[in-house]
Amino acid sequence: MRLAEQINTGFTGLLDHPFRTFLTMLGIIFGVGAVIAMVSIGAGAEREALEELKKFGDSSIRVSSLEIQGERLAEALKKQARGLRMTDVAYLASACPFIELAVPEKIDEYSFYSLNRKPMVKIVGVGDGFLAASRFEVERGRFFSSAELESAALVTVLGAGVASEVFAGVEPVGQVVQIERIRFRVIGVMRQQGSGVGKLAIKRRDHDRDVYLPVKTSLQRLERWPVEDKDLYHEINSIWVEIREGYDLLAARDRIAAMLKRRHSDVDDFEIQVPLEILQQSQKTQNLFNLVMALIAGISLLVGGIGIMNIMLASVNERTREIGVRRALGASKRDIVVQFLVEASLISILGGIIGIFAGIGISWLISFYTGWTTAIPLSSVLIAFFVSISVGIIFGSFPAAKAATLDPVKALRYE
Amino acid sequence: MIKTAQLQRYFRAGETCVKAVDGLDIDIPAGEFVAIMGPSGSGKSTLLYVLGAMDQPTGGQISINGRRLDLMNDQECSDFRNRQLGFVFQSFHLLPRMSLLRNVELPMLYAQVDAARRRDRASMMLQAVGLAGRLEHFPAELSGGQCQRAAIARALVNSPALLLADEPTGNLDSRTGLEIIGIFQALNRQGMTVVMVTHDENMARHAGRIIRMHDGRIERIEVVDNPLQSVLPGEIERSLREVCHATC
Repeated sequence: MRLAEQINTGFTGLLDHPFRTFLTMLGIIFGVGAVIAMVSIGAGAEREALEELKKFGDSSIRVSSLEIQGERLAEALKKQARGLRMTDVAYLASACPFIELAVPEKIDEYSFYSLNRKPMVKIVGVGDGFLAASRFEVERGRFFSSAELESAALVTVLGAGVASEVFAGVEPVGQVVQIERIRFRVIGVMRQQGSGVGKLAIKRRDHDRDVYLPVKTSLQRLERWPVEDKDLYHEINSIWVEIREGYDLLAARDRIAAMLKRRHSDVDDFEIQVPLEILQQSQKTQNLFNLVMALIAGISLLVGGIGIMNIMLASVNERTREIGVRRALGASKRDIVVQFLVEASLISILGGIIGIFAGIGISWLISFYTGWTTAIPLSSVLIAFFVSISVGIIFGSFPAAKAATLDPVKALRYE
Repeated sequence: MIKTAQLQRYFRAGETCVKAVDGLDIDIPAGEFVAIMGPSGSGKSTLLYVLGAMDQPTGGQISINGRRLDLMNDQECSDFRNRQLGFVFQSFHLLPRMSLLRNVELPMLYAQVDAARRRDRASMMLQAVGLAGRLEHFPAELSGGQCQRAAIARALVNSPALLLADEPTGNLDSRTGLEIIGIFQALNRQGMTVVMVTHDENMARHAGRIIRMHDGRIERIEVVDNPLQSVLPGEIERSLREVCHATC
C-alpha cells in the first residue's frame, strides 16, 4: 500500500475519534510548546547579552573606585594611599604596552541650570579617548578637542535626555548652561543610549542624563568646598581601559590589578570588571538553565510519547478484528506496521505543529508580560518538529509491531 | 488448482497436541464448487485458513495454481491472498467505519491500484451484486444479506482465481442464504473455483462435491449428482456474468 494512501487512512482513523486524538496529542503539544518557550527565553537572554557586550566591546576593562570609610579610610590614609587618581591613568597608559587607551571618568552631582530648568543630571568629567573607549557617539555638534581637554575649557556635551528636556525645540549646540556658578558653552549632544538594566549585572547608569566636561575642568574649576575626607579620597570614579588586539584580557586584568594594588599600598579601594568575562559567566549560567529546561522538556515529551503508546496499544486491541480482515484482504505485516506507525506519527506531528505555535504564543506572552527579550531560532522549531516525529515513530513502533505480529486467524475471530 | 499432500496443521496446547488437520490429500480442479462439511472441531475452518494462506501448515505440502503456499514468506502470502484469493466470512467482516465503497476498495489499496480505477471497479462490483444505490452507506445501515453481498463484491474486486467462504450463510435466514449460494453458483458457472465451509446440509447440496471431515481427517468425499440450484434475479445473474467476462 502506498504511503500517501496510508497517511490518508491514518487521518481517517484519527478523525474517527477526534477527542481521543486531541487528548493524546496534548502531551506532545505541552512538551513541544514548553521547549519552544524555554528556548525562546534562553535565546532572547543570549541575544540581549551579546548586544550588551557590543556596547562595552570585547576588549574593554573597567576599573572602578570602591568607597571606603571609617577605620579603613583612616588606615588607608596612614598608608599614604590616595585612591584612584589621574596619576594612575597616566601610569597605566605609559607602563603597560598592552593598554591601547586608559580614560578617566569623574562623576559628580553638581547643580545644573539652563533656560530656567534644573534637571537632575550627573556631571561627568572625561579624558582623552572617551568616545573610543565608551563606544558612545555624538549626535550633533562635536566632542572635546585635545586643546579643550588640556586647557580645562568651559565647554560641555549633553546627554540626549538632558538636551531634549532642557532645549525642547531649540538647537542646544551653541547655548549656554550653568554648572554650579560657572557658565559652559554646549558644543555637542550625544546619541540616545537607551536606559534599562542589562542582563550582564554590569553597573550602568542612565547615560542619557550625563553632562560631559573635560575631566581637568571638573577637577580644577568645579571642586566643591568644603568636603568630607571620604569625598577627597578618590580623585576620579573610574578608568575605562581598552586592551590592544592580541593580548589576553584576563591576564591584562591581573596585571592591572597587581600594579594598581601596589600603587595603592595594598588597599582594596578599587574593583575591576571585564564585560566579556561577565558575559561568559552569564552564558555558563544560561547553559545550565538550558540544560535543565531541555531535561524538563525531554521528560514531558517522554510522557507525551508514553501517552501515544498507551492509546495506540488500546487502539490495536480495539481493532484486532480489523487487523485480521486487512490481513485476509492482502495486507502484509509491513502494511500493518506502517499503518499504525503512520497513525502514531500523525498524532505526534500534528501535536508538534500545534505545540510549535503554542510555544511561539507562550513566548510572546512571556515577553509581553515580563518585558524579557525572547527569540525563536529556526533551529529550535526544526528540532522540535523532528523530535516530535521521532517520538511518534519510537513510541508507535511497539504497538505497531504488536499489531503486525498478531496471528491473522486469531485476529479475525477476536470478539 | 488445489493440491495437498499429507497436509498437517497441529496446534500445541500445553502438553497436548491438537491435530486440527491431520494428513489430508485433497485435489480440487479449477472451476469446481466444493463444500467442506463436518461437526464443530473437525478442522474444516482450519483447513480453509490454510488453503487461504492465512495459516501455515505444520507439515505436508499445499499448492494452489502451481504455487507452493507452504514455502511462501509473509509478504508472498499477503500478495497471494490479495491477488489470487477472495474471502467471504460468516459475519461479513466489513469495516464498520467505512462506507461500502471504501470497504470494497480495500483489497485494491493493497494491490496499489490508483484511486480513480479503485472507485470505478468498486462501484461496478457493488452494482453487480445489486447494491448500486448503497455505495455510500455504512455496513450498520444494511441488512445481513446486503452486507454479505458487499463482502462478496469485496472478495471479487481483485479478480481472484479462488473464492473461499467460511460459513457464508451462517448468520443469514435461509432465504437470504440461498440468495448468497445463488451468487456462488453463478460465479462458478463463469469458471470461478469456490470452496465453502458449511454445516448446513441443504446449502452443501448446492455444491458439486462435498468433503466430509472428522477429527482432522477426511471421512468421505461425496459427488453431488444433481446439485440444487438457487435461481437469482435475472439482472444480477446478468451483471455478474458481465463482471466476470470483463475481468476473469
